[in-house]
Amino acid sequence: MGITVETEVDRERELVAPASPVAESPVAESEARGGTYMAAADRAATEVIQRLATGVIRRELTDGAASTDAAATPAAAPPAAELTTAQPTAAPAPNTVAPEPTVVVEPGAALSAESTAARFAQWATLKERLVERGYDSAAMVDLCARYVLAITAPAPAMDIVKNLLKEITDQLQASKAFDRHSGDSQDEDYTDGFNLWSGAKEQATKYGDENGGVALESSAAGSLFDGLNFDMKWNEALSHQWNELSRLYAEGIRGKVHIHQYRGVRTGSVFNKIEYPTIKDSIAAGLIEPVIHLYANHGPLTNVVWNTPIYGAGETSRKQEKILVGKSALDGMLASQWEYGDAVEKSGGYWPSGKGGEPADHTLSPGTKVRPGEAW
Amino acid sequence: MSEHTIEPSAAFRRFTDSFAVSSRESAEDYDLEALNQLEGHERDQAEALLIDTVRTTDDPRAPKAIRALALQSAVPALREAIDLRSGQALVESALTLFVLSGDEAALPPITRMLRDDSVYTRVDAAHALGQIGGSIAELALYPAIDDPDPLVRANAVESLLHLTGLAEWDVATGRGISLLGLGLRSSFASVRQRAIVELKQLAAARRAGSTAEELGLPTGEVERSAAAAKALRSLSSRAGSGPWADGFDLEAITEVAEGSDEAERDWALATLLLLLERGDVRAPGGLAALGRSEAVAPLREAAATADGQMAAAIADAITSLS
Repeated sequence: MGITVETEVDRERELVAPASPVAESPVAESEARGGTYMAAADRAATEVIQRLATGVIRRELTDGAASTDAAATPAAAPPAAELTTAQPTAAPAPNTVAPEPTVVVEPGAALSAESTAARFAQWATLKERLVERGYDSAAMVDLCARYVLAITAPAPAMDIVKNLLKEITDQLQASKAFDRHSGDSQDEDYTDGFNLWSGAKEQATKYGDENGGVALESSAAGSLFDGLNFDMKWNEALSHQWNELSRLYAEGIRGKVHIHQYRGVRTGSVFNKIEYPTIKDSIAAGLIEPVIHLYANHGPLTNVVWNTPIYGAGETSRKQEKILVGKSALDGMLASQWEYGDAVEKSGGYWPSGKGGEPADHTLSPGTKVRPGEAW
Repeated sequence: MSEHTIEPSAAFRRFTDSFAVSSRESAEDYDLEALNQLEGHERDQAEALLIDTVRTTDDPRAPKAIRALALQSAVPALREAIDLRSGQALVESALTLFVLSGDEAALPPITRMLRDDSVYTRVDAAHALGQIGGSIAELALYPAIDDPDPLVRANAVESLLHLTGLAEWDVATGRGISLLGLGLRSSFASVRQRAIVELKQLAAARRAGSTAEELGLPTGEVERSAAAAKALRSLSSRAGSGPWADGFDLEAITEVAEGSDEAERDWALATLLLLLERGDVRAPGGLAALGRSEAVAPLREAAATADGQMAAAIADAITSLS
């Protein structure tokens, strides 16, 4: 008995089919509806190939008889795709439910992950960065292409995403890509020059660059992915990627670590949840010494909303306020979830920023409440 | 009649652009600086966008932004989200709901996420419970100390130390609460179990009003002895290079072992166990030199997965300590 197997491919086709299947020209019709037909069909094809490339297409048969009839064959898949069937090893006993064979559609040898990934404009950037950093072996390029396809799939299969990312980061770690700049030799040693940040990425990377150190985003590994989102807004895969990169960078920290914090403790930040817990054992044992750089905004008072930052003249107004050294300073700050406000310009100087106290009237703006802060 | 289009402000564009995840910064949060600068109609639009995002997506940054704004009008959407969302979005929605409304219905979804398959969801849940507090949160965090992932353990420990008030006493490197934390985060079950007993005793004592001094805990940094400082130099070195390439400074470790400062001996033990956990082949020799029998159980745990040179070093250390 032939059966109809609904594949992911079929569902994709349904999803992108034009509203009226009898329309003489779906393109004309879709243009009349806003010109979306071609884009949708193109996206669907890409998504099918993404799923093939990452092995996501799996369908279960329910009556024990595998079918490869026309309805079951993914018409939109590339010709190289193969349909393989795992048959039950023994005939089912009468009156028992037969085991369910699994049909797995796998990519054929001719499928090129790279040419599919190239549909994303940012693939060219990633490829260029791989070449610049010497990770241009065919295997690494293919691995990265498959990773891009996996994370950009409509519903990323996280087990596949995680495995592919692990394969990539294993190679990056093996070449010390988390603790050196992209142009450095593998022997470069940045002991005492590692930089973490919370709300102060630019300050951290700049400090590292100017003081013989390295931050995640300026490392050969972090800079590979920084700024690339492959046209996605949010998905779990990208979040996982940055969590993993942050964790791996933190695991490699040795000696002194410079922690650049903007406006004190940011509860729920990657620093608080991932980086600091990763290095906490080493700090507790005295193997790593933290140096905390605290930043606040300086600038003219332009707007005050209670309980929100007071902003000065933009990014350039951010300044380092204070440096704290040692475990006690860091843990004390984190234990009390210490926050501080901005420094507001007054004639001839600034009010110091500091830990919040009781709201008080701002002398330049009567009726406006500001936190006076601890004097630094 | 000509049409006039009001261009969005630069801050509004920065805020909406930050919905794309293209960096660690944007994976963590939307552009909250830009969000905070919005006023009037744009602020209303941004708030509506955040509420809609909570209702329709799994983006955990939306409830975080709502929390940062203390946006009370999002409470109904957050209540919906804790029934519909999963993973990090569920944890952040529930935490925000709790912060904005005090609704304890937020707690069970977070404690449930401590058993989620995703490491980073469990991390979020352990961290969030530290923000919520209370006896239910505290009880839920104890089992998370035994989580297979070190990052989940570390967040659970951090939350527990915060909730019990012991984090405020974590003021000295390698002593007191600092050492307790090392034990609680250890990958060796035998070490963790001893530390959990100590944590419960100290938490109870603190609740009963005991001070750090009364409990014999340091209240500030304590200078290391010359022997400990010397030992630390070798313990901080990388295996395979420099003067301590093949083994730690056993002379200094022995000196610490024979010294009068019990806290320093405990520090040396905890540090060597940490290095053993990280696969440093020099650690078993250091533990043997320290001569502490408490090291035998974790050495046996390490032996279960060790091979080659490490297995031989562990076997020698166990023989020496037994």
